[in-house]
Amino acid sequence: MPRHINTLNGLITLLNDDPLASSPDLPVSSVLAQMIETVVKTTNLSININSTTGGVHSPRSFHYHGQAVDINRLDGKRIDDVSNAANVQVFQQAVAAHADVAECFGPFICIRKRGALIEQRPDLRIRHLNHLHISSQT
Amino acid sequence: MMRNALLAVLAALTMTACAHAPSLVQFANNAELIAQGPLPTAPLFVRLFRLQATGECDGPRCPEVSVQIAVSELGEYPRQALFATPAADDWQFVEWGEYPRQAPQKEGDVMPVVVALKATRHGVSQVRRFAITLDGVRPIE
Repeated sequence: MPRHINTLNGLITLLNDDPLASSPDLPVSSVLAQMIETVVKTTNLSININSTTGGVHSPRSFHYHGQAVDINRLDGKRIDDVSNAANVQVFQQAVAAHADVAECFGPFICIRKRGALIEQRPDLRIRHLNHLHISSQT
Repeated sequence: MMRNALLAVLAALTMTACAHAPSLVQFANNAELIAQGPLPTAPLFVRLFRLQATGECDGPRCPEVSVQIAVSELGEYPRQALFATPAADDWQFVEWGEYPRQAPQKEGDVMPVVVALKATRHGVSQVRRFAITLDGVRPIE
């Protein structure tokens, strides 16, 4: 059953990086919502989600099914802020270790797809230096 | 065990190699989407295109038909593949089915998509079931 992601008293925000575009605070898969909330609580790192089911993605993207989010800020800083690298790595590792993860694309080697680790391809990394793309299997 | 594995490989090769791959021009002009499924959120999504060779019928014989089978994972960077049935007088989509085994145990495995297709050759029709994965298409009983 789709639901909104719990903001956990402000630890999670849902703000579009384009202020003129629509809000990403939309219902998503309950499995995805639970996974994101769990990782935020576990790492105690705040996040901003800037895309859920909106935006333009790959034709077979999990976004269109409410199974993916993009995160552009972590602990109050941009994902590509070099001073944030350690936090980004910790967050990606926590996501990749979650049983329900399908994809965990970002600047660090943490891609996991449907339970199987896959190699960090340079072309994927280049497209995910400034945000994390995280999806769930259901 | 070894013999069965070899037969399965040969069957898969027969399925994918018998029909020569159409050019993009042929495909874009002549392919007809006859089914897609089984569900948009399924781990593997399949599109079936009926592709008839160009030309006129000569009496009861018409240009041969194949089914082009496009298969994709979900995701931003999905693995995708395209296979084809052997050419026949006609191919029709019948139904989606269920794979006759238990859920896969190995991490990362995805259940094949099962489809039933009706092949017609020399006036005789036969419904055949196929298991579709990213690795190939193989007939199942």
